[in-house]
Formats: sequence, structure tokens, C-alpha cells
Amino acid sequence: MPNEIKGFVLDDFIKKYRPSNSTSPEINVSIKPDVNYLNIRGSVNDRNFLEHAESILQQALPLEFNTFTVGDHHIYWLGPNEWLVVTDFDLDSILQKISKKIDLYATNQTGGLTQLILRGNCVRSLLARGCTLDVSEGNFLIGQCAQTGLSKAGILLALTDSSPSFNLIVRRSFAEYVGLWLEQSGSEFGINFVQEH
Amino acid sequence: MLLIKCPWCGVRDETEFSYGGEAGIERPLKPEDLNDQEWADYLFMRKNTRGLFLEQWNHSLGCRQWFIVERNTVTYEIIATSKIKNEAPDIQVDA
Amino acid sequence: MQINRLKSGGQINRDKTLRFTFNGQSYKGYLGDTLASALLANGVDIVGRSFKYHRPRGIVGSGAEEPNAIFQIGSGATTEAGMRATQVELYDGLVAKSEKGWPSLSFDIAEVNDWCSKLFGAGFYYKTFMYPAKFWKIYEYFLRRMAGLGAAPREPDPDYYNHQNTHCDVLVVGAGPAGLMAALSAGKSGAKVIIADDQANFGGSLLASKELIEGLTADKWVSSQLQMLEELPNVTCLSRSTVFGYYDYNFLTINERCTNHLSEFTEGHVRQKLWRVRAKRVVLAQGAFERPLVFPNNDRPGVMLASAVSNYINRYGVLPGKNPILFTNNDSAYQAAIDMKIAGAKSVLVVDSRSEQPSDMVDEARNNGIELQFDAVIRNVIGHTKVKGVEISTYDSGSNTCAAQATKRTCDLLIYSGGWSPAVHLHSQSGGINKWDDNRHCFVPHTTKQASFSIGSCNGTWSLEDCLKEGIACGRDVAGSLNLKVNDINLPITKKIKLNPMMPLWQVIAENSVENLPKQFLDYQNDTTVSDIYLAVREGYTGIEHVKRYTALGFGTDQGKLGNINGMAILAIALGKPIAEIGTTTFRPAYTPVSFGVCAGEDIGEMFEPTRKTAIHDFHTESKAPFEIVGQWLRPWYFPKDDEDMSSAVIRECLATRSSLGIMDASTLGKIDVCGKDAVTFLEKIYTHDVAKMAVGQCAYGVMLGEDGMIKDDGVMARLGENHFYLTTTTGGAATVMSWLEQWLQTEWPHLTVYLTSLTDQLSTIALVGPNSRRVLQKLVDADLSNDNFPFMKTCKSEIAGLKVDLFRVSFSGELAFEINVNSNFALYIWNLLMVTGRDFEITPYGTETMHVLRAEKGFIIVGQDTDGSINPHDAGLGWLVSKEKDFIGKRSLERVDSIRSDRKQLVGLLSVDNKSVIPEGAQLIEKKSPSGPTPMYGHVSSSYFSPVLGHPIALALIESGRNRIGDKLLAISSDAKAIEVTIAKPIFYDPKGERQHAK
Repeated sequence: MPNEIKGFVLDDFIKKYRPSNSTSPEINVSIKPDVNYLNIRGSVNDRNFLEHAESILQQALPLEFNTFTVGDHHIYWLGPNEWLVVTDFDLDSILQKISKKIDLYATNQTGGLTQLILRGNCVRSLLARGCTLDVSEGNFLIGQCAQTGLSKAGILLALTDSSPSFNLIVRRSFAEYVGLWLEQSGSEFGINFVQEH
Repeated sequence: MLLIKCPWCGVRDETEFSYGGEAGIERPLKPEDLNDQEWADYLFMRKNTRGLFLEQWNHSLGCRQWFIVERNTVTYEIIATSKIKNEAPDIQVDA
Repeated sequence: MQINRLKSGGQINRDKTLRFTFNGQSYKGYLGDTLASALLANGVDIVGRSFKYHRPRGIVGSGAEEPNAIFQIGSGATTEAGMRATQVELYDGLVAKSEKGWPSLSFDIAEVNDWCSKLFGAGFYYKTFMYPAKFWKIYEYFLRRMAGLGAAPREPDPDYYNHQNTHCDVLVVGAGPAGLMAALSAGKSGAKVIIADDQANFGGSLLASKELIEGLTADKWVSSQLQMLEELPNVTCLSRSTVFGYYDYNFLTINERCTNHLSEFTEGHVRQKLWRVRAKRVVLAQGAFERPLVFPNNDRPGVMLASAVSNYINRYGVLPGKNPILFTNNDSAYQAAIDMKIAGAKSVLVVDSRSEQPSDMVDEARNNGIELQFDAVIRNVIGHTKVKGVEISTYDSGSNTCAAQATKRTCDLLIYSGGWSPAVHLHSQSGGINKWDDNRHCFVPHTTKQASFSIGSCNGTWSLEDCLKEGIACGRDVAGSLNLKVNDINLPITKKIKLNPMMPLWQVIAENSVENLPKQFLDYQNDTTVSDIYLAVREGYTGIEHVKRYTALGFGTDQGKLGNINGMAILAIALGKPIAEIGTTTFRPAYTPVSFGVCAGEDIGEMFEPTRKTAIHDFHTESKAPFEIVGQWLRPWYFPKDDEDMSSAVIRECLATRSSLGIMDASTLGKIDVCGKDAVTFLEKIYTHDVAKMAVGQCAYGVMLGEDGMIKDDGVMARLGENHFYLTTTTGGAATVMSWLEQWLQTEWPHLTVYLTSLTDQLSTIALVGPNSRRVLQKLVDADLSNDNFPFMKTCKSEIAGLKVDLFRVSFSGELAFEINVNSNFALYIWNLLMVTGRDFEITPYGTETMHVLRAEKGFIIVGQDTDGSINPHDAGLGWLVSKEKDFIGKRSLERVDSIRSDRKQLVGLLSVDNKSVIPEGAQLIEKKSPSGPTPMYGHVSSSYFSPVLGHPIALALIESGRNRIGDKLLAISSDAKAIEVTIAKPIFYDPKGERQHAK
């Protein structure tokens, strides 16, 4: 697909964004728009479902609540019968493998979600400005994810490494609000945004 | 500001949840068999308990699951939370 | 001239002189001063006028309890009202004004109220300003001016405020001796500790203390402890931070004032921060408030609490008088007399209501050359704008009586102390119960509701050693309860002091004639006196909550920190009951006033609420479309060409769409994917129509009802596969419907295998509308769009420019129309492609207003506009959608007696008789000739527009038995009382047979 026909939600935000004077910002945000998202539904009590999911994704679904696994894809636990696959893979190649005989349901969410990667020492402090969830060290661990609120938007938050680096996934229509919120609240620490292609 | 233990996600702030009223009100399996009075009882009448009360909450900002909270409406103390049992209603088959 | 400033001493920086003004007059103070200490240093006696009687008032306290020195600080956009001078730190250029007193503080014309105070007793509002009732508005204007409650800024606040959520093991409130020890003890055991204190410096009572701890002066010792705390990485120290609210589940709020002490406005800095704390344990070490004594004229400027006097001398180097008299019923107040004498007061007299008993304090006072008079009380104060002297009488504590004879004695400062009241505010807010302690004569925390511990003087523990001991023990217990390895700290060595117990003295003159005496004030901020309490009792009020409301006792912004306990005691006396039976009033947040700015934090302006934009938004902004906010979404309202106004734009958009081709961004619709083997069973319950009978590829217009039978939401739904459906909801109802569906699914039918997933953001929806829509779309898609192959209410999958799309032949305008669902990343691209492809047919983008006109011409309802939660499908003319063959949510309610009434309101059309007046929405419909008595109102206009295609106005209305009244004429009365004559019509105005949407 030619890239120029794609329109990502934070394109406009990043176009208008003016980096602050801070030479060494404490927080770096990279916007990673061109990723595919797949929502998987099924019952954990159904062995066939779990095996089928693993076979089509080549990666097991995380069964522990509020965790994610990293392999070919990032797979996040969203609920007791719901997972989110975030991947660079072409979704059609996955969707084609789904058997109609098995109670596994997949919904393409590409275009409906956006991912921001937040890195830097002050990220936990920044997130605590808008999250009621305890995201402090020792409490929010690597491999953990949580759906929660950031100020007035719902988000999916996941800690990928100890630098720390958080993945923040938000619905398309709330992405600009989250961007503006991070920019405003992050100005205290120094924050910089870049868009990855 | 309550702290509520979602049976899946653990303890979260009240702001992540939405309230769903009294728990345990079963929808009649055959509404058409009920007279207006009985239907109105199901539809409108709620206990409004002072004290221990079973209610429905939804972890709306989290895993989107509905669950049961046993709460003291006087002290706001939450005694327990539990998942909703996955059981089919006991449908009586007409003879 | 800082005439009362001592040559040395205090914790102020004498090298940093600060200038400030009070009521226009310039003064100087030092860095480290509060506004109150600087005013006292400058010899300013009168700082305010009282609330009701406009009596002159001076500074009484030195902290949150101050009831008189309440000022307007600053001017313009950054001004703040209701600021306590005792808590305002001085900065250079500070501008302060008293909030009452006209024309000036020393001569206030309204003091006439004081002379005719018989008119102004408790409840005077209710008695005096009753008649005539309509005059209340005028009374109110003057009363509010007289009361003088400060002014809010008229401009937006330029300051920046923010919020911080945090979680900790232990929150310690108050950094006095007990709090410091608790924080250190818990902190050294590894607990995550936050310790907050409302003052600029930690130390609490120790800041003004002369006691030695571990051989160090109190302030030096505090510094050493603070250093240890700050070295612990797990401890956060917050100064200038007031814990003002204690809510359920150990949730507490802290107001940190970051730059208030620097200037009125500090560019680029957070002015205040709101901390939202969840603590596993809370340690309350807030201290205690000194209690005034109650005697005639006890409110004159120059009457001051003993603890405040010690604070002003020892912390700020200010001597508030030269010839003071101290009136006390306890030993702790002696410190103030000793401090005065050491600081240079000429003569100091102590008047003690108790009989003499051996005590370290009495000895020390005597050694310092202080004159002592036991078994004596102050029975009156001489002086009007400033204390000039007192009347002293002998007192018999056995019989609680004071002699009739009095001796006069001059003084320039009357220091008083009636003992201490523990600050049980947060303990009470948390749900804890207080109990009257007959030995200590105060309310102390009794039972707790949450994981909190009260220590130190807020627990009624007075001696320094005991406070330190309690702090250490509490920190250790808390750490232990959190399963931390307890790291003990040693009890600091202090000097043991022998103290005598205090003697309660609630009222100096307890004669029955109390009401004929000069006023004895209980609550200074609200001018509540002893006689007000007696009056309330005489008028039948006995409960403290009632007396509080009738007399306004404790209703000021100081929340009765000084006066409440005395008031309760007087009430007990008046009722002849023990104080324990009176109880306390309810303590509520905020402990001290909090600014609106910090409550709002960053959630202001464009961040007040998220603004959601569709993927096609850029096109709308480039077209200069004005926007309408619908459920947080920005939707284009209309697309003006050149300098077109709204009505011409809408007429053009409507006609272009009806005659050729329109295009609309419908992406804000709620979209839900429903799949699972029980999807049909589930949706059969949700919708009123027969879902099971729908073929794959079939669309249907569906309504959802609440179990009460009323329309909840509506939209097109489609069957995409055997067990796969796609639903749309209204823009505003998307989240509610999703949650409601999940509730039914999870709580009522958890055994069904159905999965609901929102597609609202993933898919964008473009509506291509008008007789030429098929022609244009066919150019872009391979699928055969002919009527035979793709008739009305069908859906299919296709591709546009190699991109997958879902096509729906549905119509919300009555025209031949298609809705195109596409991945939002490509929506703008597809939109622009359609714009180019449709150019030959003058494709016209239209907004929500045209959408409304087009749908109203067809009589299509908008849920929430043409329905209001009391309209069932039969009322709305949608009876054809209601299945008789199956059960669904709300079905049984449709058979209730009320649902089958013949006079229910029904959706009908309206035409104005003159054929040109657009009837205002919301207009009420009445008979042309109203009968006498109340006019029956038959209903109201729910939607109303000018129809360009018909060339006349149209409206939809809900009218009682409306469908039986087609052709009747009524009057539509709008809120501006204009009447328009209307004819009731069928609600479909255009293409009633629906031929256009079925076009071949």
C-alpha cells in the first residue's frame, strides 16, 4: 500500500508540534502509527480456541490477567475473553488462517488505535499526573499491562523495559487529547515527540 | 473515593468503574405470564438497602467486565467482590 | 517603622527587607515574615471589621485558626479572597486589603449595628428581612456587601495548577514533634512515607519553643531531623502543603502551595499542586488549637492567644505589646508571659483562675519577675479600637463565681488561653468518632473507621516527651503492620516539666444576667456570642447541629477552629447537660479554604474535555465548516461557500443532495461488531424486530428499548454472516449502548457465547447520498451496484482503489444512498477520491444541519430529540418494527395499562398555517380557543426546519392522541410567547411512498 494515502491520527498533532527549548528532554515520546492491531475473542476454557490462537499467531495468548507477551507480536491481555495483538505482520495472512469451526473471533482494529512509546526517567512521574493507577517502580512491572484512565481518556499501558519504556495505546479519537495532555503535563519535565515511520 | 477490587484486574480506583444498580434481579423467563403488578415489581421495585447490599459494577475503563460487589451502604465498606457465574437459567419446559 | 520588631531573634532574614501595602499604606517586613507578623511588627492593631456588628478586630492567632485577619491579596486576574494573614508568607510587593470596613477600618459606619445589636441576634435574617417578600433581593444585595466576603477576579486566572496522583505506605499529616518522629521511624524501616505540613518550615510547635532536645535548641533539633528525613529516598517531605480532605479508603487530598510565597504571579511555574494520595496508613499529627476564654469584650484588638504571642516573639522577632496581661486557666500559657518578659516587656501580669499549686512554669514565671495573681479572672476589657486595660475580679473556682467588685488595670495586650482543643478535623472527616475526655477537657479521637492513627496533641497528648514517644511508637507500629523490618529509633532526651492540670473555665461570668453584659464572643468570624446560644436554647433549639445553623457558630471559613468547643460548652451549660452529651458538629473537607484553580488543575480550556475528531476532519477544517459538538465529537455543521450564511448553505446543500449528490461524514456513529454462536439469540432480545429472519447481507433499521418499553437507541444493523452482525448506534449513545449490551450479556445471559467489540474508531463512515450516488460509486467499485443486485437495505464487501470497504445501501435522507465503511487510516483518501469522482455531479459535502432537514422531511426521528425516554415505538410510529412473535427487552412493558392508553403522546408532523413561519423547537401546543382555567398543553415541537425542497417550514411534534387529530389546528406557543397557528399532519412530508430510496 502506498504510504501517502494513509492518514494517521497524530499527523496533524506532530505537524503543529514545536519542540521545546529543552536540550535534553527528560521524556521522549515516539509515535508509531503504522502498526496493525487485531482483537481476538474466545473462551480460555476452550482448549481448541487457545491452541488455534497459538497456531495462527505462532505465539501463545497471555493467560495471566494484565500481562502481555512479546514474540513476533505484542499480545496484550485485555479481558478474560479478549486480547489485543499489535504487530507489523500483514493481518490478512493471519485472518486467512482462522478456522470457521473454532470459536475464535478476530476483529481488525488497525486504524482505530494508536501507539505512543514513552521513554525516560520521569515517565512514571508524568503518568502519575493523570493515572490513578500506581505506576511507580516496584508496583508496575515489566511485562505488565493495564487498561486505565489517563486524565479523561481510556488507555492501555504496558511496561516494556526498565529504562523505563512504556507503550501507551489509545483509541484514535482520543489520541490527540492524549498527545496534548502529554505535551502540557510533560512540559514540567521537558518532553519531546517524534513520529516513526 | 472507593477502592474496588475487580475480580480480574485487582484493586483499582473508583474512577475506573461505573455503577449498575442492585444485583441479583433476574429477568423473568416468561414476561408474558406476569400480570402488570408482577412486572412492575421486577421493573421498578428495588430494595434500597441500608447496610449490606449486593450490587453490580462494571470495570468500564479496564477489562469491561461486570461483577458483583457486596458493599455496606452505610459505611461504604466493600466486603467482597465476585465474578458473575456463567450459568444458563433454569428454563422450565412446558408440558 | 517596625515599632514592635525586636532587635534580634526569630527565624526571619533581616537582610532581606520586603515592601508591602495594607489598605493602601506602605509597610516593610522581612523575608520569613507572615503578613500577620509583619503587620504586628508595624504596630497595625485593627485588621478587620466583624461580620455582623462591624466591631474593630485585631490579629488573634498565628495559623489556620485566625478568624479576623482575612484579606484580599493582590489585584486583577491574580487576586485571591479570604486569605488568612497568618498563613500568607510575605513577599516583596504584596498588596493586601481588608475585606470589611467602610469608609475605613478605624471608622466603619456600619458599626452602628453594634449599638443596635438587639436587632441582630441569632436568626435575625429570618426574622427581620421577611417582609415584603419581594424585597429580599434588595436586602440580600446590602447584606452581602455589609458581610464583606471578598471579591473574585473578573479575568481568567493566568496561573498554572496541576494534579499529582500518588500512592504511599504512610502519609504523616503534620511535621511537629510527633509527626517528625513517626515519619522518621516509619521511613527508617523502609516504608514509603509522605510527610506534609501546612507551614513553610517543618517543626510545628517546636518552631516557637524554647525547650532543649538532645541538648539542641528546638529549631536546631528540627533541622537535624529534617535532614535525616530528606536523606531517606523513600520519604517525601512536603512543606506549605495542607492536607485538606480525608475521604474513603484512605484517599486524602493535599494542597501544595508552590509559588504563593514568592509573588502574586510567577511566570512559568506551577502555582499550586493538588496531591491525590492513596495511603496504606495515615498518621494524623496535626496538633491542637489553643482555645480562647469567654468574657465580655473578649474580641477587642490587642486580645491574642498565648501560643500566637510565643510564635510572634520566637519565630518572627515581634513583640506585640509592652505591658501585657495574661489570662489563663492552664500552665502552658505561662510560656507566653515568660517569652514576653525575656523579650523585653516592661511588666507582665498573669491572671490565673486557678489556685496556686507547685508547678515548674509558675516557678519560672516568678523567677523572671512576672507578677502572678491566682483565683482571679478578667471580667471585662476596656478600650474600643485597642485594649487599654482590663477589669479583674477574684474568682472562686469551687462555686464557679466571680466577685462583683473589680479592680481596673491598664495594659496594651491581653493574652489569653483557655486550654487546648485537639485538631480532630481529619480524624472526623475519615469517619472516626470523637469522645469528650473529662480529665483533659477536650474532644479526643476515640474510634477510627479507616487505617489511621492520631498522635501527639491532636490525640490530647500534651508534653513534648510524650509526643515524641507516641510518634516513635506509631511509626514502629505502622511499619510492623506493613510487614516491614522495624528499625527502631531512640527517644530524644528532653527536660521533664511538672505541670498542673488545667481548670475548665467556659464562661467567666455565669450569672443569669449574662445577656445584659457586653458581648462575649465565641465565634469571631461570624460574630456569634454567648447570648446567641442562650437565645437559640430559649427558642427551642437543643441539638448542636441546629444551634450551629441558627447561630452560625462555626460557619465561617475558619470552621469554628477557635470557637466551636466553647460554643458547645456554653450550650451544655444552657441546657444543663454534660458536654459529652452535646457532641461535636460534622467536620467536612476542606480543612482550610482551597482555591478553585487548584481543584480544576490542568483540566481547563481545550483540555476541559477530550475533543474527538473524525479521520476526515482535515477536509472539514479546510472547507471552513463550523463545528457542532455531539458527544465529545466535532461534527461539521454546514459547509459555507464563499461568504454564505448558514441558512443559504443549508438550502444549497439540501437541494444539491435531493437533486444530484451529497456527501456526509457519518464516522461518529457508534459501531459495534457482534459475533459468537449465540449472536442471533442475543440480538433477538435486544432489538424489537425479527433478527433471526434476516438473511446474510441484509440490513435493518432497529430500535432498542429499555425494559420499561421506551426507545433507548436506534440505528441500522446488518447481518454480515450466520453468527456475525454489525450494529450502529447514535453518536451520543455509543458508549452507553455498548455498556448496556455488555450488562445484559454478562449479568443476565452469561451462558451465551457472544462477543461485542467496538469499531467506532477503526471504521470511518462516508454517506454518499442522492440520485447520482450509484453512478459515482459504481465508477470506483467492482461490485455490481444495480438495484437488482444490490437493492435497498443490503450490504456487501468491495474495494475502492484496492482498499477494502463495506458498502451499505441504507438511507437517512430518503434518497438513493450508500454508506461506505473504511479503515480510518484511509478515510480521508477515500473521501477525497469520492469528491473528485463526484465532481461531474457537483458533489456537495453537507453537515449535520442538512442531515437534520433531510431526515425530518422524511419523518425520521433522532433519539433524544424526538424522543425523551417516555416515548415507546408505537408512540413514535414505529409499531411496524415490533415483533409479535418473540420476546425482547421492553416487550412486556408495551402491554402495561399505561402503554396502551389512547391519549399517549404520538409523533406527528406540523405545518404552519401561514406556510412561512418556522415554528420554534420546544414550542408548546394548545387549543386555539383555550377553555377557562389552566390551559391544557397537548405536547411540544421536537424538530423544526425550513424545507428547501418543499419550499415551506416543516416540524415534528409529540402530541396527545396526535394520530387521531391529523388536520386539526392548534397554536404553537414558544418561550417568547409568540403564537403560530399550525395544522397537524402526517410526519412524512417528502416522498411518502419511499420511492426515491428504492430507486432502480
